[in-house]
Amino acid sequence: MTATLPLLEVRGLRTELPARHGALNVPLNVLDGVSFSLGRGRILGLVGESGSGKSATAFSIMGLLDPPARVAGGSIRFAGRELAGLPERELRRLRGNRIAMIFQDPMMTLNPVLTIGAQIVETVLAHARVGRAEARRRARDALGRVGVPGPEERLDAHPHELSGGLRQRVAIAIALLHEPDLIIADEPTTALDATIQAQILREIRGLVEGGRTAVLWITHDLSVAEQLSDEIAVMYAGRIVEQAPAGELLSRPAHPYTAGLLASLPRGPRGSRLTPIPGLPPTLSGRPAGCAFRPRCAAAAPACAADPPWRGRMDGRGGVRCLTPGPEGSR
Amino acid sequence: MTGSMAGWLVRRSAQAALVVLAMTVIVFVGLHVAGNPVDILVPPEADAAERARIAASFGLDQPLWRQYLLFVARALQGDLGRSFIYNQPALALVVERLPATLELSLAALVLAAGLGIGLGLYAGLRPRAAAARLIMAGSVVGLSLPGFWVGLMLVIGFSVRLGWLPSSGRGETVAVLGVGWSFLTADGLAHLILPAANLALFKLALILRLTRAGVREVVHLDYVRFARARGLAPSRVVGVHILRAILIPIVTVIGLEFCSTVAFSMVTESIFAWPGMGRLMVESIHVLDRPVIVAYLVAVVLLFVAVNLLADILYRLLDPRVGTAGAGRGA
Repeated sequence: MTATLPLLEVRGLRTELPARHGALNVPLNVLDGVSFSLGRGRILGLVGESGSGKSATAFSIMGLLDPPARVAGGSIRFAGRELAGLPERELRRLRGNRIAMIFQDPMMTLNPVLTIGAQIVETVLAHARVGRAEARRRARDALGRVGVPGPEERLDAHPHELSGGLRQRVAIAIALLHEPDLIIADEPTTALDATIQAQILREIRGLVEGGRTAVLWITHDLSVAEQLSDEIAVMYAGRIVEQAPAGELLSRPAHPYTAGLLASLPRGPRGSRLTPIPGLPPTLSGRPAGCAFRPRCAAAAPACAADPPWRGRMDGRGGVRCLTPGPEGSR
Repeated sequence: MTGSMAGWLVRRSAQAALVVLAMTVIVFVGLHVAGNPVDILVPPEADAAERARIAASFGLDQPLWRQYLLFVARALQGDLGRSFIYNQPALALVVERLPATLELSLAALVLAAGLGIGLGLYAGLRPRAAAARLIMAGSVVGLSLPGFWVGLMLVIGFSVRLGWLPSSGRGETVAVLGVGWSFLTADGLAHLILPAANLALFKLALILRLTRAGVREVVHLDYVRFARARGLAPSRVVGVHILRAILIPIVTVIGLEFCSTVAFSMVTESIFAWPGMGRLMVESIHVLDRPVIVAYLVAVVLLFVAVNLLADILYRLLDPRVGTAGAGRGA
């Protein structure tokens, strides 16, 4: 069933920053034809460096791009509905309700001057026709569900009175309030220490195993994506350059960029050398035509100056956007 | 917290007492240099004996330091002296004029805060809209035009040319709590509009610019984005999350501006013949009526202290993170 009708299907998504009154009078493509799909009960890890377009993908789906950035093309189908171009009113009904979001820094995502309770209650009231007392009861239950000790007292606390881990639990409790179909998590564990990070990853897994919810997990950390995801999509300069089931992608990377990311992770035996990718990712206005990874790629060929097509990986699992894909299974 | 709050209040009161003391010394010395009130009080044809009698009756024959000590001794018993001109208790004279000035200042402030915050929010949320640009251009004009000139133009425009609004006095008043108020009658309200608009213009521009700058800054913060990602209605995102965050500097400015409005409304009160404290002050300086000047300045200092206190209490209500550590702010 999930194979026939994915919960979220993004096709050729193009998000642009319109031309500013300057020398360079062309719109900049923040996202340049991003496609992926995600079924219920699945976790897709969206991996890339900062500036690769991971967060832009999330905000495009949510309709929360900062103007003047806008979705300029492509489609975002969510539960059979087209989100691109949907009026703000309709989007608002989905946000926090059918699609919930968890952000990177729990210190910054909760309003410092409002109590935890006020912020959960307002989220309940935004989507449910219930009274204040009932909303407060639901808020308390939501905190209890994510393992916040003493939920009743926490409702009256302000965010600065909670630890970073508790704050992120509050953010997760808010995301789960209306049992969303899709959770978009934008680096939610980056600011947390390792033990709390592991707990939260476990809880997210448990949630998805219920089979109703899908998670789009955005991270720069390939090892976090590996622990958590069913599938991983690697982004570079506004495009998905490789996508495959997590195991296959990590054991047999096809795109030179994926291989480079893996080589720069401390995964081998102790003392083995880490090899960083030479050079820096291109800036938004300095992306080369054709394959954007070309200047940093050891396998670059003259033909790479043309846009490489998306084609299936040799093992038949997933796809890659590269003319000279690496020897899959070489690791 | 309450203990340190009490200590803070005591410090505040001590500061205020010092300010009052310093202010009275300055007024005594300053007026002594400016001229001898006896010259104004005695008729030109009076002889030396008559002069000495009058001087003695006001205590003006004494050396200045003795006059000052006598004043302090009486002031500690709540007696700020009698007006040389009106032969009434000076404090009563000032207090009698206080409601008119308070009414005018409050009306100006409500106008400035209401329009300033409203227009500032709009300009901050829609920075590229034509109306927003117009508002910002207008605010520069509002900041740079001198108040007395605007006052005269208002009189010429709305009273002389158009004849829509009266330009002098308080109009019909209604006594509430033994004091006459203009804003309770249609005629009084009509009299209030021009002077209030005159006083409000500068503040309106200031609050507007402050609000807009705050909104531009806050609107990109994660917690505002998170509030939108939770599907909250725009009214709640703006009215609660954005407004609460930018309110502290606005409250500060409103507090300070209220004080300076009350203290320095003399220009506006003179133009519109508004029978408030400002006009009394101007008249008293002309005739070197020291007790009235001192009583007026004492009232103004106490008002400054009270409003600052109120603003500090408001900070604590607005932002739970403002603790006693931030309480050292001067009066």
